[in-house]
Amino acid sequence: MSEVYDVVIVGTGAGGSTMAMELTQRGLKVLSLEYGPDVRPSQLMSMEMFYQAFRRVPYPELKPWLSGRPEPNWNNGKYFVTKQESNYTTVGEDWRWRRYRLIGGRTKFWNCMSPRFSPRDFMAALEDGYGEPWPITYQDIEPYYDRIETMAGFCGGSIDHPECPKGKYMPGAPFRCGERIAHDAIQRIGNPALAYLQSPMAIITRQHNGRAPCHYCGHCVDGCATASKFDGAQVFLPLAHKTGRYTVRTNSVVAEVLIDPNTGKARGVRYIDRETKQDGEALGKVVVLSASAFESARILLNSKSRQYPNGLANSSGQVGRNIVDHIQCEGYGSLPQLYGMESMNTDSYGDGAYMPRFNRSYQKSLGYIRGFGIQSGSGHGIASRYSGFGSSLKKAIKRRYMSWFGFGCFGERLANPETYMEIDPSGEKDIYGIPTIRIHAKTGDNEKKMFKDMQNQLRMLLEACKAEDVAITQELSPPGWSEHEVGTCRMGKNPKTSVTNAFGQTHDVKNVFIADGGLFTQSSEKSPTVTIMALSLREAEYLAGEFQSGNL
Amino acid sequence: MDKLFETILNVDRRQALRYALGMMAAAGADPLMLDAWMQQVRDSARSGNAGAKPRYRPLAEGNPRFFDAGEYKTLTRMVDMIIPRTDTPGAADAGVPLYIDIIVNSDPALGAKFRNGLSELDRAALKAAKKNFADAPEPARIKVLESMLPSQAPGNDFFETVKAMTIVGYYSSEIGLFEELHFIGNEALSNFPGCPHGGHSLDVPARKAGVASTVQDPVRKWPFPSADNITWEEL
Repeated sequence: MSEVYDVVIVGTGAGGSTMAMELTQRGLKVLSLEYGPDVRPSQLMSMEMFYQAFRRVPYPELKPWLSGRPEPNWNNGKYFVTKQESNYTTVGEDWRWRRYRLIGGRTKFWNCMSPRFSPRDFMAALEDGYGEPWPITYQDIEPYYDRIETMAGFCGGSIDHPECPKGKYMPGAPFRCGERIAHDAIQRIGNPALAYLQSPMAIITRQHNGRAPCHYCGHCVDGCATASKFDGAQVFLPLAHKTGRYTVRTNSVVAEVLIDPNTGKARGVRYIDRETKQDGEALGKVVVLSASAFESARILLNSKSRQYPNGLANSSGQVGRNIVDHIQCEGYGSLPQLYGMESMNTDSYGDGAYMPRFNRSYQKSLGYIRGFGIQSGSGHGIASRYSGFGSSLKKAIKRRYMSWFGFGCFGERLANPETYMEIDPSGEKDIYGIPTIRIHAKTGDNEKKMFKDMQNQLRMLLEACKAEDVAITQELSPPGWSEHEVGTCRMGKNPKTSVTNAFGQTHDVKNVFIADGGLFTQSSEKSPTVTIMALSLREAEYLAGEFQSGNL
Repeated sequence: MDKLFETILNVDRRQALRYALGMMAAAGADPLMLDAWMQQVRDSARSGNAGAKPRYRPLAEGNPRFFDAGEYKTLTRMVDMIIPRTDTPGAADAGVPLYIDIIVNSDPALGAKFRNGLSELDRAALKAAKKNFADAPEPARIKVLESMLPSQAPGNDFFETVKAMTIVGYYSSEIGLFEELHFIGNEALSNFPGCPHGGHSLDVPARKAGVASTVQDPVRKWPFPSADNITWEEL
């Protein structure tokens, strides 16, 4: 591949697909390299019921991924990379997460909860003095949120809330019975800080740019066959292809960024073809890493040269540091108001409701900083924890079938010096000969205090809804569990304490950009994807401008 | 596309309907058209099946491969006591014993647990009624299982494992889903109505005495997110 592209992008997830679309539309010639295969929506086969799969698939191959539904998304398991396969090691607490290797990246299987960061989220470090401040404000990013939401098509978020700004949303799906009850019950508490809103989702409920509206099958996390849920590969990459300036190469494992020793700038990347195991070079005038927070950092750290002995763009020593994700706590139960209700379809999409952060007024007395938000959903469920056996158990399960109700908290973790990743010093390599990573993780006191508060709040909220058979998570979720890891290449004004500037351009190497969760300085309590997309869009605009004026 | 549609149609009617809708939706079909088309499919399905009760198949059919005849008989008795046949089919009708056999057959650790657990069950029945568990009179069998209910009881871990697998197996079988629960879902809709009742009272309806609700274990462990360590209880 001797052609020199304007931009080589590594990865096709939320950041990579946004970059590809915007850069090609601005006239640049772009090549994307994707680790995984190209997967068509029809291959996802996501509506097969468990009993059907069980009949035709040998049990050991049947991999029921976490799911509260009677049918597994076992077929998609092959696009997940497990710990055994990716061969990373951990020190301290175990880092437990799944990685995804296919076109579209994590956006293929995400739950697509998409709240914007609030103005105060961008000010968090300035308010409480913890961590590196964001180099941008909400006003800087707001127009890009607007554009992402308009282009991709988002729904929900019925009310503008100081902790959860209303975006450009279509009407969302109406609340299910359980969510109606929770909404009314929380209003009855009468605390204005508590709001139970339609959740902002990256789903279209109306026809949008030739895409069909949501068909409410409830399989969002198995991939959306109709692209009604945002999926980078099905929504943004087709727009890039339309320009005629876009090429994508799948099954290409990027090992390092290639450096021109004369200029000190990047000249492309070295990759390994996953099928032939052959080395190749993809040349570009600009390199964008959007391979996920950990993988982008791994590529940088593996790109050692005489000029950059500590890894590329790492003069600050911050590459791989400042990792944060979310802590989680779940609480669920049965709503007796719905016992014995006739069966009906409660699938729709993921969690129907979102409770924005509400802890600002009291958290000081509990001695922790930062917040958590709560996702909430309801529908059919098996009350499998009902005690005993026999016809009483059978009757109880049937009676409670339509009454399942739950909350799930996501709370911010604080970056700490003991949570970081590095290239494994033991020299461990993966099957492509690329050095693997070692992850260090530690949960701090702030997380423990916040978790305790989450448990208490969930208990009170479930009580307010009069839920029965209540079960609340007793154990703090392990690091990585939320799959919201961010922060390995944080942005900032000071090149000594940050890896990139406010546009994702690395301080050290002008023509290397980062466009994924790695850029975050703090995780806030909100799901990161829509913010990754908005940051990438802003970055693409800047990159194209700089490129066209010859500054790169 | 037509050919694909036909192939799918031959596989499974219920599924075909969904895929067809998915494909039409992908082509950007108008929601109203989807509605009309959906109604057509429903009508034709109804007229084709007029009067006939659909036959739901058990989750698994055939002979056990892991358990011997005695063990299988004991297991069948046990799962049928956990979810018995009432006015709807029970766990044995739904093929749960064979479902458990298939899973246990692929997992040596689970195999040992079952072998041991089932023989303990027989031992307890022999002690109480001088008969194997499967042949013991019902009151004796109930006593044996009840003695395993407290979380500190020796057989509790085995009982909970069997109970969880029985529940997953039964309620994910065609029989459990459709005959028992009247499951509606996993289909393409042109519109999601949400709560069709216009809201609900927040008050809990008065309860008959003696049906107090209990929860056996409020602790939820985080399962390891790899294919090899998924716990079935989480399904």
